[in-house]
Amino acid sequence: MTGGMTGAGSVAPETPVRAGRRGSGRWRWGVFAVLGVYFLVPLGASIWYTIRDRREGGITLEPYTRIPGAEGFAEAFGRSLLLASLTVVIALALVLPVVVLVELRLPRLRTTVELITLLPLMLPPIALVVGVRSVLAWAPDHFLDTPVAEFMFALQEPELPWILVLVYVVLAMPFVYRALDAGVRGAGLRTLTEAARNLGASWPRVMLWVVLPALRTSLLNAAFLTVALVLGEFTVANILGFQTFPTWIVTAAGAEPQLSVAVSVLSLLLTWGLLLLISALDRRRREDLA
Amino acid sequence: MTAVPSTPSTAPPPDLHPDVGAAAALRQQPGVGVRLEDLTRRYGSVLALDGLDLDIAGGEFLALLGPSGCGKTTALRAIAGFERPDSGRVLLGGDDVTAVPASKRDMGMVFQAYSLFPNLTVADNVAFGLRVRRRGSRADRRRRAEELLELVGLADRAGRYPHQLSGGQQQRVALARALAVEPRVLLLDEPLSALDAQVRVQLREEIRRLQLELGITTVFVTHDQAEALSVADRVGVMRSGRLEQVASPDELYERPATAFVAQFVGTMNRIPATLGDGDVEFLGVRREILGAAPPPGAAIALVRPEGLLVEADPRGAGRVVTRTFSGATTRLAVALPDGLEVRIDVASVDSQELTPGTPVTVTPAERPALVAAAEPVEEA
Amino acid sequence: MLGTLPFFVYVAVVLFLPFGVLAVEAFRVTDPVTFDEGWSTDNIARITEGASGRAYLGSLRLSAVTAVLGAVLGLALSVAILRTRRGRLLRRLVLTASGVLANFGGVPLAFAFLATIGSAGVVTSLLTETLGLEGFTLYSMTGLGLVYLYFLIPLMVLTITPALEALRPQWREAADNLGASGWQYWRYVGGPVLAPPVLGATMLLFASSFAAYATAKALVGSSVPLVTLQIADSLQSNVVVGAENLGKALALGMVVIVGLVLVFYAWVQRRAQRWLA
Repeated sequence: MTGGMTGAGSVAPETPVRAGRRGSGRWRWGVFAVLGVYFLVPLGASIWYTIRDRREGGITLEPYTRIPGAEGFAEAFGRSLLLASLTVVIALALVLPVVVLVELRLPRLRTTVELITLLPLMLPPIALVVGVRSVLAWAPDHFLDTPVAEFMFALQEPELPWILVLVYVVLAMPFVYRALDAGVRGAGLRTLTEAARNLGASWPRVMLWVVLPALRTSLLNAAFLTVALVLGEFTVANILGFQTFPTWIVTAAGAEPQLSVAVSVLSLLLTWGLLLLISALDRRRREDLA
Repeated sequence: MTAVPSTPSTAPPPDLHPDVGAAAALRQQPGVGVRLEDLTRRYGSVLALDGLDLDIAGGEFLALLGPSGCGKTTALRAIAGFERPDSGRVLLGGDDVTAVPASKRDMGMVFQAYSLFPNLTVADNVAFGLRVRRRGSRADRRRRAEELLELVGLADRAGRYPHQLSGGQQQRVALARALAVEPRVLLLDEPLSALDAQVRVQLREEIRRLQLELGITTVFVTHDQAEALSVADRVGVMRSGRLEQVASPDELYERPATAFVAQFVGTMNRIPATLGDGDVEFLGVRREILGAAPPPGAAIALVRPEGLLVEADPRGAGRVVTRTFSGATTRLAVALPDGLEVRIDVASVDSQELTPGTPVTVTPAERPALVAAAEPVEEA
Repeated sequence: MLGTLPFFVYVAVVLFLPFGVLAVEAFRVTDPVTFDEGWSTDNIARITEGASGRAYLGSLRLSAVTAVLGAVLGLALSVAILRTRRGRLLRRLVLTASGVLANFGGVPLAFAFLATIGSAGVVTSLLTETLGLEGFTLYSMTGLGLVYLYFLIPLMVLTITPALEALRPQWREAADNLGASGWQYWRYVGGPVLAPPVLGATMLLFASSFAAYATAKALVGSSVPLVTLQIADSLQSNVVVGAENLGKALALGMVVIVGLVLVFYAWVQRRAQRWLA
């Protein structure tokens, strides 16, 4: 309740004290206990699974130290990182103008854009990838020996499968759009840009000097969510038959289950850590603004 | 928010003649008194209520006034039952209700804003209290809701949802909802602070008229002194969890008990003064002291803008800085030597030549002056 | 406006075109003898029978059960977090962790559970060695459901927390003040206000569970009847002629089911719109 008297002008202290709600505490701790066990046990067990030395007993970090040198890891992880960066660039380049324009100039389009960016979240990625496969199959079936076919084959180069980038951009849209939209609404972009325009700044200048800095954290957030998505995406890569980081984990598990679990644990914890960091940055920024 | 009800059918107050109309039907037995005894409430290190004592007579309209964080809202919420005091008692009509939960206290509360249930129509909102008490049939409740909406001038909005109403209309509905259960006490928690200035004035007058009509004991929390002074029988000025003074608006204005009250209520000039033997000297003249004299030492005279006289004078030490016209009176800001600036109200007809830059002399009016020790008073 | 053009073109080509092609080609068949191609509803007819039908049934059942369980447990967790005083750090920890698990879990989750209650899992060996318990297997519908909840509960927390935060404390206080009991508040105000977002979130959970592939693939291969696994099988089969087209029909069926769910969701939202600003 110490937080109750926050800030000037706050009139009502936050949570009211109500009589006869003693029971809610016990109920709450029950929820925490049950779900805490459910969520922490697999995590703890995975860690134990990877650090237990089965031959000699005791504890070893060997599965973790073995990761960088594991067969195929460097190649798959490197490829995934490259795919992730390309996806971030394209997704931001496509979505940022839309978010800004919808906020400033085209509010009528908001519902349409929101609906479109929601679709990839609701529609099964596996159905999308079946469709993509069908389109790609046109190259040998209908366009053989034309530039179109050449282009479509080039998209499927196993070293750098651009087709994955194209699909990942679509899959990332829900996250990118919402992160940027939240930023745009929170930044009071309309006032900022109007002020800048009023002071004589051109549109490109407004974009570069006003919009981008105001959206710094949400851009970072969007970029991070996209990277996490690409580094974890399995369905599309698996169905289209490309080797990426997640498909490598599954392949490697056959021979070395400990290694796969170790990589899984690491990727979950690292992603979580980075998300925490970004949310802390975001909060600091918001407090600065307030 | 600008959608002030403009049609003649809704804007004017309903028929409030004592003996006819809906209000008469609602008229209750004489209002119930409320008494707060030594109420203390602490949030961590902040003392929101510091031994608050307050007596509110049955049927009285009391305003609690003070800067934000002074404890006025906490006091109101303690009466409503949303805050359990750490110590002290809340008495309602002589009964100790300190331990009675909010839902059993029979009080009607109007919140600052956004308290209407968004999923219920206006009529269902008003009937909510009756519905949960299972009072009357569905039709009875419906009729009663309509009566109350009539009373607040919104009979034609019964079927709307809250988000379709303007802020002022929402607060009227909230008022009708609070009154529908015939509460023993009406509690108003800054009900006007989210509204436009014009609506605010109109609605506060309506609230007062209704309150007089129903004779219901009412506690009104606000940080706006003009609001408090204009509607209340008595105003309690709070600071740091305590009452500085409880008095009628006139008394509060004319005879503030403390420098804080003087500063907070109305506009007050603070002019350095020298204490004499039973009198005080400032701006070059001597005046009697109003009320108790402060302890010897540096002092300041507290003078209202209408308590200073100003005259154009080529050799005067003062200079008019700004001139703000507000109808019958005009307020001047006058710079005096030593960086002192005072505000003075003059009749607009007499102020034609007092344009900015005019040299003037300033004299206190011929009447006893309020004096305080020259300690710093925090900003209100 | 020119600035939005690339976005719409991109979406048309990479999102709508594949689904359009899917919808058309699900009706293509190849004759197994003559290799002639033609139009037919055979694929569509086939997806309700045999292995495909079982897969749909399995997927629908698993998704429905896990969506409802995930919604209930996620709602409870979200309420519990919001009720915790001084819970800001807890809230941030849970919300970020939810973000990771709900959206990016997939494969890693499968392995975490393999390590825990797989045949050589830590908890499995603990139970079988010390307690002599046996019988539960991760490689089943129940096991899969248990893993799915690991990302569905966080997904519920992520989607429903904003809605819970939007419940104004004034409503509860006003209800109290008017004499309502806690139950009456939830019956007349809290419940009706929360119902649309809770239902919407449950739909999202259903769609997410229905579409899940990575976890199932990594965990059970194709030993459990699920549509996603069935689709992957038919695409990767080089033996059966026309299997690819069956895969398209199966995928189209998924889209139709999700579409129906979305339509229902839109209908609910519209009803809620009556009183929502």
